[in-house]
Amino acid sequence: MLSQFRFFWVQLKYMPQLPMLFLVLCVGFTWVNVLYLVQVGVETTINDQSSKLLGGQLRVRTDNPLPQHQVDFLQDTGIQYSQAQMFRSMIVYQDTFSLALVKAIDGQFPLAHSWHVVEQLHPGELILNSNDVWLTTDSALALGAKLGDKIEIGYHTFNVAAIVLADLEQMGNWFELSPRVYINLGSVDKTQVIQPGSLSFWHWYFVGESEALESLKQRLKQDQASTDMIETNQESEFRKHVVLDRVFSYLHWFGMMNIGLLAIMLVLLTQRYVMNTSYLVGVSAAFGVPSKLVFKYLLAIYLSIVLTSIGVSLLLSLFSYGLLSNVILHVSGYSLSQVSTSQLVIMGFLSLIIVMGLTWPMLLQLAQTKAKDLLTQADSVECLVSPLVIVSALVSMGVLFSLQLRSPSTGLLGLFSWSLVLLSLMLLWHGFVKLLNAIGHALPLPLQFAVSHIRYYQSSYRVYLVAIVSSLSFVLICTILTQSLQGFLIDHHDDESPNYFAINVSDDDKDRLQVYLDDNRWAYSQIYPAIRGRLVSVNGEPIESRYGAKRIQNDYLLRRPLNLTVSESLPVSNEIIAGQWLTGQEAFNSVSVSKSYAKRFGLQLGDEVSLRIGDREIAAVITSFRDIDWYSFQPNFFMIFHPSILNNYPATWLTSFYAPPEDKAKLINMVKQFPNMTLIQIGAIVEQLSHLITYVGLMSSVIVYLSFMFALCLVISVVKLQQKQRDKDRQLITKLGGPKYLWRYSLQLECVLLVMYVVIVVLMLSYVLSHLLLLMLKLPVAQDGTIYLIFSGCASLLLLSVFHFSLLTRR
Amino acid sequence: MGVLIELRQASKSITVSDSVQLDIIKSCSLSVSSGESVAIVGPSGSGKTTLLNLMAGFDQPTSGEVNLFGQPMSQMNELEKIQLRGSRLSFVFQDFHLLPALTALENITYLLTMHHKDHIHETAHYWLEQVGLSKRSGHLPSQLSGGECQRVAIARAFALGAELILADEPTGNLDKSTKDKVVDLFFECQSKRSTAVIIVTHDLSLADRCGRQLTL
Repeated sequence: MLSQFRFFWVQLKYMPQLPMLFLVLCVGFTWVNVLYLVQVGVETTINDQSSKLLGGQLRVRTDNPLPQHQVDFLQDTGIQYSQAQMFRSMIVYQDTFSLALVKAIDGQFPLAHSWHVVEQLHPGELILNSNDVWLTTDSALALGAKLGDKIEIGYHTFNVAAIVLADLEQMGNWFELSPRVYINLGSVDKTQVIQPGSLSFWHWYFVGESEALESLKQRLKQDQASTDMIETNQESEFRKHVVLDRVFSYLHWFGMMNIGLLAIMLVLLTQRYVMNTSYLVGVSAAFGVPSKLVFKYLLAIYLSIVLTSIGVSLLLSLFSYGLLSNVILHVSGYSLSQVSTSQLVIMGFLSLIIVMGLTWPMLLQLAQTKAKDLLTQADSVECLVSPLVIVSALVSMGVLFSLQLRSPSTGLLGLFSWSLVLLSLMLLWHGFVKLLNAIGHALPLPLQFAVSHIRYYQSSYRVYLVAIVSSLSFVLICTILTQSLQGFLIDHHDDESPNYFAINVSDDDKDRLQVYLDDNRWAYSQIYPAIRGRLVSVNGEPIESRYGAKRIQNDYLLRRPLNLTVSESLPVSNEIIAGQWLTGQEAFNSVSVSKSYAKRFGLQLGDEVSLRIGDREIAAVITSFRDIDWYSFQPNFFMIFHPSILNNYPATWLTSFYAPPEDKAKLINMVKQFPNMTLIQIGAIVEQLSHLITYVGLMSSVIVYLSFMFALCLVISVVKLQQKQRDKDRQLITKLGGPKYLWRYSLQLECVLLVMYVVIVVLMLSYVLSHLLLLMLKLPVAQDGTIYLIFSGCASLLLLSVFHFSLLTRR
Repeated sequence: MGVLIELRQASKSITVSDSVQLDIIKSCSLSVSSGESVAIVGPSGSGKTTLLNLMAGFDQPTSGEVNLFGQPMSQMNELEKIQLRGSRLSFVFQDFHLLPALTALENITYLLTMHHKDHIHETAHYWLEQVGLSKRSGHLPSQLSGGECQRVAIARAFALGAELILADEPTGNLDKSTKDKVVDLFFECQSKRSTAVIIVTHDLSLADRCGRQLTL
């Protein structure tokens, strides 16, 4: 058995596509597995963390403290409770400040589990006194503060009494933009950060008997004040939709592009393996060795490569996941959940099924072909591209996309997009060959030879050039998208753009802030009032019946209060696209709504919207829709009312301004002068985004360039296989008295024609796809022609060298 | 002397279009016994290779019968034909059909191994020595000349111990001096083993070396 296997193993040195196959499988599966592991890992971790929630078994997020009638009920039913108020504020230590999320807790918190204390000032039980603050590790790092230091929050100075790990909220704390600090609930008023109209929210936590908790839940559902209700140990849909789904959706679409490319490479490489081994099967069958016996060994070799690569990719995936988990551990103090053995088995099994689905029909076809046909077979891919092969590959790709995207409909969409791209490429090649046929006879002799070669080898060229064109197009598309995103950020955030948002400015401080900004000559936008209000009905129909409970639960814009404002003039980054701005008599009862908000909730001009602000309700008629440039770094609002409507409602104020980097000292002074104002540094966020785009662009390029390299290697190997026939043709032409240069010229012209075709199709495909993607991502579609020009030049040179090397060098 | 292969009124035709049938071989009868050498000659397109394919079981006759080693081939399934090829029937092809990844020796030992023969290496070395290539046993086909490749192919055919060898234009790709050497060697091996050979050729000098000639 082993000695028989050895003969087949020896064949491998004549199959350069096998190492490539190994690489493609490793890269492809690692990519798929890492995405899968991270997605499942994040969700599992979030659920694991829910069970360790310090609050207890049930958490409610709301705008208000626990009302007395609920407290009475809790006492009657024996349910333990705790509450915390959360708000953003600046924290200041000496000459350093940072934006922080302040969690003010009562004496009952935590109801379950215990704090992870890094260090504490006084040994013994951890008690949060009214003048104490506990810093989380990241807030201590941001300020450079230690135990015993004094830090300011708003108008009050606190002592750092402990450094702790941030307590886990439902769905983890990974997407918190600002570090967290803890103070006593009784000390909130001392800070004076919470002004009428300030953004703050409450968490109520409960622990008790399940029946009592069930009855509490029913009561809370009837209570309009309560909003998000999250049970621990229960998967929450909320955060997944808002943050994780967005992150994963970008990763998935990007992954689908790469996986599609790698799947094509896998099919083509397997095809070449089958082509190469078919001769071996033919010779063996001619000498009485059954094809099925040979096939068994060849399949064993193929499977050993597939299984090894799946094993290697699983190891690489585990390593990458571990690395990511460590990074998260370093940043947040909590790591991702461990990968289970069953997960690994499922991943390996699915990988195997996908590979077999993509390649099995081709391998089967090899087993069924007759010896005579295998012996006389020309280098044609046609015999292996049967409808069964194509259908099986498409179905497998569909399954792969569906598993990858975890949604069959999106998987089908991905499959449809890929099929469309491949079909277009096939049709373009068909058109190209037709064109050459039509004009071929009228061309000079060397060009006629070149055209006839392309026509003769068109079937193999067609398949392998599709791989080159698609991979090269994605290289260009990645470059265009990365540049467009970065260009977009730079365009919107130039040197004069606002780099700070000042929010939560109290009514008393508003005029003083304006003077401060003027004195420092910092350019600033209009200072807007911000009033917190929740949409309650449209045309008298409550949102509960209009949108349904599930939609409200899943949509934070329905569930939570919005920032409303008033303005007599249209903000600079806004444009009226329907109706009229708030002018005339009707304006007193009017509201202008953003286009995206209206579209999201199906609002029409003339609709009457009612909002609850505090315990009062207001109603206004929609008289205009606005298109908002959300990237202008100006304060923007979904709803702008006429000043007459909201004049008497509690408001804080907000603006954006530009402070040059050299004015850092003045900023510190500003934070100290306006202790209850919150400052958000936009410049730093933009810089982080820019870095992120560069990293993602780089990561995507690496995989796309790998696919391109595989495609190039395939084309080289295919062209090399044509060499025997070409040598015969060359000798014939020379014997018939043809000049030597004729052959050389014809080959060079063949190179030029192929390169021209590839480059033109790549430019067309990239232009169309990148336009579509830019439109989808709502980015400006104006593209710089220079990138196409440079790309065409580089790609032409590279491809000419490759084709020249393949066609004009001898084996 | 037993009859190894027998053709009875074997015909082969192909359908060119709906109404046109092209007869390639018409009612051919032939019987070859062990130790015999038969040449099938004829101009190009006369059906020589088709006849050889019928005898090897690569193709089916349209009418008539082919009996191989006393068994009618029409009653054999594909696996039985393959098994017969390995044990009692062998080939020498015009373009050698050596496996490019295997050395001269391995091209022989490969088939012996797959057929579970005894004394594999001794047999392979013996036949390589018989064809004068014992010093080139470790060379790949790409490192051998055309004549040397054909000699390896001949050694492979005889090493399998077949009773009947079918050779399709075995000297078609060789120059004159190489051709003569290969032909001498071929018949030398044939006489040593008393193997029956059927050679398809349009080379009359090769045909003259055979005991019988069948002209198509």
